[in-house]
Amino acid sequence: MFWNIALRTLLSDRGKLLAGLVGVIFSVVLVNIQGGLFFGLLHKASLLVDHSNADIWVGHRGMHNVDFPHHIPEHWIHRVRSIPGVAQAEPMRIYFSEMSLPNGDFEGVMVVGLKEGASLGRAYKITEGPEDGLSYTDGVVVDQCDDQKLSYPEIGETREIGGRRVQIAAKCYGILSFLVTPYVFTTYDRAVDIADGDPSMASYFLIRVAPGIDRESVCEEIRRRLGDVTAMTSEDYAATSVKFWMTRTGIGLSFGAATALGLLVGLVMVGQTLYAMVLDRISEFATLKAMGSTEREIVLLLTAQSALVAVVGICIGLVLTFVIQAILSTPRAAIDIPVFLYFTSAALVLSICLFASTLPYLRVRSVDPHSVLQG
Amino acid sequence: MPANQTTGMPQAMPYFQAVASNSMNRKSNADIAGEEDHRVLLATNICKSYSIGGEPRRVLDDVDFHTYAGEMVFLCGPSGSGKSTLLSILGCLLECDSGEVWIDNRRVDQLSVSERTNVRRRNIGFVFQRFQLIRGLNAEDNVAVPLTLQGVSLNDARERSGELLSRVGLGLHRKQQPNAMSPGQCQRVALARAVITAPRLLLADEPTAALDGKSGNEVMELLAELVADTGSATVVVTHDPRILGYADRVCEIENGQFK
Repeated sequence: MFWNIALRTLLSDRGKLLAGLVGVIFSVVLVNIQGGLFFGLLHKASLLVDHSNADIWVGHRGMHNVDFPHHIPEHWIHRVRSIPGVAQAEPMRIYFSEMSLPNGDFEGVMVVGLKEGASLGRAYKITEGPEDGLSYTDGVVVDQCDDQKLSYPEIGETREIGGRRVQIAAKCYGILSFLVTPYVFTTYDRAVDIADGDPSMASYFLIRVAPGIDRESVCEEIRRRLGDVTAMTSEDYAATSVKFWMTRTGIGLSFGAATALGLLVGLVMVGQTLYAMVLDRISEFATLKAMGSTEREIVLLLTAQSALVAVVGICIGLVLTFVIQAILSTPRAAIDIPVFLYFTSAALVLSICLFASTLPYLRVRSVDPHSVLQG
Repeated sequence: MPANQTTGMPQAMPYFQAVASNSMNRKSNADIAGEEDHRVLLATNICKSYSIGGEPRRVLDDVDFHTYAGEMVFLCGPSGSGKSTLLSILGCLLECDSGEVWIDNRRVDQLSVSERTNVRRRNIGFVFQRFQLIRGLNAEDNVAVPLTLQGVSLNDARERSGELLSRVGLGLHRKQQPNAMSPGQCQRVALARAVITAPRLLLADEPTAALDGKSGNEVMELLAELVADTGSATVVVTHDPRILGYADRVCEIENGQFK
């Protein structure tokens, strides 16, 4: 019966019900979209690693972020290749440089150099232009999503990076840096030319291990043989790169604060709505008490109302989140909502709604059933 | 309506024959007076004071009161005389400062809050001045509430509630919301709600105060019939002189004491 009373009294005051639902929906959407943007942004911190097709990344000792390499001697790669279990090892170079724009300005870019035909480290997929664009003279690959930053480069257009002539040979899609600097992919040798780097140095060695080989033991062996390097599995290096931004920028705190704010707004709205509903029906609660409803039953009624508002609001909020994600998520502002976030946000909002029901309960608890006989 | 309507009451209704094991036909005052066993409510030496502006003010002063099963007693008196306070104490809604209250041979004034709640749930039906129906629940569900509080399933409670609504002339209004009914109809629903459990004690607080004269009389007719059906000991607080004729006994209270 209490479910019946809870449901029907909720439905009978649709204005307040709507206000409560808006609060819950707002919370669910805000938590998920904020969280999705957060994870989407963090995901960009490890895109090169995630799409590298490598099992192990080797870099200078203490490497902490894929975009900030400290170079190591390229000839060490031969020692890496000699380690049992290493099936394939490719060098990679990453440099900061600047690309000239048609209006005379410059845009900082991150030049990523890969061996021609390398299967490791090629994070991009060509979406516009020839597949073998890097084999073209001075050829570079840029990302379509960075068109605006790079002043809409055309395929075949000539630009300069670091004062060296390059040709936009092809475009890829969705490989964006966590930083504001676009990735520009080119060949391993051309990268060192463009950035005027040391040709005897590489930024990373990317390794593929033979099937059935334990990657951790290969990492251990690499560290033992080379001494001055760090070797990590791709998953570990991706996590390390993400952690770098998390811990050094306070981004987690700012997103977390916004998310907490969303929850707080939801809490206030649901609490306020239920409180207003209770105030509006205070004499009915007094009547129920007079007729013999126990405190437990009153709590049950209010909890049921909170739970109903929460569950309906969460369902609508999740559907709305899906829609917003589908419409607004782009590689530049990716909304990556992990499954656990859906469940976590739902559980969190439900808990908050149940907590919010304590506010009206405190009011109802103070109602004296005798008051119902006082006119 | 005659001044004392204890005779010529309608035949016992099937609903209460089925529901109320404690149901009994109404008796004349003479009969009642001779049957101590039927004394459902007994209150002795009831005192109650309120603190008003820091000064204690005695609202009930050594009041004795009792009612018998099937008897309808009216409490009358001017505003502030202590009628509603006495009704609240009799209904286990308010604690007295001193004195004893017995319902069905059980002392209830010393019970804990939860035990008194249980006494209200099991033994007492209430009729309120402003009906106090729950918005959002239709007439049938409003009447079913006390039964469900006693553990009856919602479906059974609705079925019995529907029968009782037919009994009070609202068979066609079972699914109507309180805000779609007239005050007279609302009070009929409230009456049905109060008696659906065939309570030992029925307490009515100014049941006709919010009604016009015609509706007030109809409600009182119905109340008298239902009391006859259920055998509930009934206490009615009223200001309304037009309905005094429905009383088996009228107790006038003034300054916290019966005259």
